Amino acid sequence: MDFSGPPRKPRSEQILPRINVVFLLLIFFLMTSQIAPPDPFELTPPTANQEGEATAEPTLYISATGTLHFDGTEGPQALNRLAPLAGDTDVLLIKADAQLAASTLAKTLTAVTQAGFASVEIVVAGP
Amino acid sequence: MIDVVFLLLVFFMLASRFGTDAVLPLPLAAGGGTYSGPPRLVDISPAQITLNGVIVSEDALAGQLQAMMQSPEDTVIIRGQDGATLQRVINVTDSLQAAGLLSLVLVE
Repeated sequence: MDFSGPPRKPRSEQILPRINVVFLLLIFFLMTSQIAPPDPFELTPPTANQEGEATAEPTLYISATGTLHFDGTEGPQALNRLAPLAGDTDVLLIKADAQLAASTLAKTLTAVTQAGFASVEIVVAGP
Repeated sequence: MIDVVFLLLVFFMLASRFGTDAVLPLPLAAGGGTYSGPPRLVDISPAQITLNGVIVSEDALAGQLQAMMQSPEDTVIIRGQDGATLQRVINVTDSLQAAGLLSLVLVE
């Protein structure tokens, strides 16, 4: 007589549902995510209590010393690359360091205005 | 197999970005609209704030500006002085926007 219980299921059958779930999660993240492009330099955005959602797509980076960076282009040439974009959208996202001098930013904003943008959005961190 | 998939999963969870950045909108000088009313020039220095050359406290600034404008869309000109940092300007802009002043323009 065989009194041993029902044969135990092999381990691989228990692991299958889990891998399905993980695959599902993986595909979810693959579909919904966009890989965040790394910042071209170390940036600490200023903090603010009020904040809105970003609507602009093109992003201009400004370092604490005033170096511009846009789409792989560094320095003043970055502004030249902005001008053709101004036709598609008139809002520009600016990611600037908190320690940037306000007068430097104002100079850049003048150039951005000349490139054809109507308003900018400055990236801030929550309080 | 499941290790690799977990690894990929963790990679995408960390590398992906959801939603959008929090931003503070700032119109540019050419963003339309004409200037009307008395001059409203806010100079921001690291230590103090002046409105049309007169030193005002940070709390009183919004109230004094509101008395000088007809609608919240009226332009207020903001200028950073003496190496004031962006953080300082954003702090003032932030409090003014909280007080309902929407059209703040940063100039040299």
